[in-house]
Amino acid sequence: MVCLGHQCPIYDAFDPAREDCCLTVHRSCYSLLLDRLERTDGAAGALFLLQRIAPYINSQGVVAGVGRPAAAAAAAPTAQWKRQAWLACDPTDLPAVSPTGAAGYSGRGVGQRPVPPPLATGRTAAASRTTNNAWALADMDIPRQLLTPPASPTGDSTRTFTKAPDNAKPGRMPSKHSLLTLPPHMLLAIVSHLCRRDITALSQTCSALERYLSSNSSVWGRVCRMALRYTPRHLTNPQMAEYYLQVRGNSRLEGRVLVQRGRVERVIHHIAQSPPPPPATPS
Amino acid sequence: MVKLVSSDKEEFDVAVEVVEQSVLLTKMAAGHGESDEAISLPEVTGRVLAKVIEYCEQHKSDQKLDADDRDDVPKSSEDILQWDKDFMKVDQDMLFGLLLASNYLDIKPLLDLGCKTVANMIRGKSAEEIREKFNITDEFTEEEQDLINKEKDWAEDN
Repeated sequence: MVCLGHQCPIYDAFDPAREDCCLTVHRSCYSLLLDRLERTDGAAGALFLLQRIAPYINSQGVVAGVGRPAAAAAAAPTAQWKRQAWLACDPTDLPAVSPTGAAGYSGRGVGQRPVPPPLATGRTAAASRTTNNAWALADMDIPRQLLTPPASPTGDSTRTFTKAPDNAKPGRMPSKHSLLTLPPHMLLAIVSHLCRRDITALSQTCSALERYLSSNSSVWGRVCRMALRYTPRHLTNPQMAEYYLQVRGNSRLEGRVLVQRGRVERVIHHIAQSPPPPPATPS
Repeated sequence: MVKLVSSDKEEFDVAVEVVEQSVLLTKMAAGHGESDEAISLPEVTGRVLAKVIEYCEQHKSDQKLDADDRDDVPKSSEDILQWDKDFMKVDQDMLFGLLLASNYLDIKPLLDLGCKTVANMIRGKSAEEIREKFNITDEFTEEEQDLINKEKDWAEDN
């Protein structure tokens, strides 16, 4: 099964009232799903789904086989498991699908990941939702290498990228974290501080970063929005990359021209949206 | 005072105004109310949490910028205060630990500082130097490397 929770259509397609409706979803996606249901169906709809799904969330955060008969389904809903369900949202939980199609974490089987420690309070779930909204925005063409480890400062993941052998760097302690283990939005924030020459150098360090920072990558629109006051619309990825690399670091373009350009674009948009003036009557 | 407990069970008593630097901790502390119950942070080690608290102590009286105000400030990585520069003189394990912890605890200024620091570590370096600095393995094939070298020549010519 695959995690469908991060895909918008699931919110419309999933019908908790149907017994044959089957859903697999990460915990983080699950909370997004509830949010959506609360908005569309009100609290009753979300609560109903919560009661249906919560018994199925396992330690890996995967809901499997909702709607199918299962021992857990017999358990009466209690305040305790409802609370646990809300707490199950994990900020390090990335929507990823293994090559076999099983829901889980990139590069690892579902059963291989250490069970994450329980989060302390319900407020963590709210914070996680914010984090995961950022993930939802992250494009799926971000290299798997960059998505692999969870954004966990405890470093409890198994890294799948290759590192230089420790003996190649005498006297250097192996580091738990590295540039490649950062979540994509943090890498984007770092890149947004760099100019063309440095980005070019960074992209030449390894194939993951080369793909990530290639002109065809969709990261450029986001980097633009992070770094510049004005981001043009309707550009292709290569055009956006070229635009960003030309503008970034040029203080004149960054500071003044682009602000003006943004204002002009807004005025044009406003004029285009406003109704046409009434025809002039002949005097 | 608010009691924080790290993933390795280290306990920290922290003033409320220090905790308020973190959006996550502020919400959690508000939820705890008058209770003496400790706030557990299973995603942050004691070593990193101590460093985060040091940062928050230093910046507790800073004026908070709204998100909109922050957007109006041109993004630059050269405007780091001297104290912050010194604070960030740490090993890479701590540096990335701080980045991830500030992301988890939702401390925007510390996250920005971490990103700027990493950007400054990259700036002006060649690909080989960046690899060396961040211990990145070069797994390009010879053909890919030739292509990169050609692109590099082209970029330098232009």
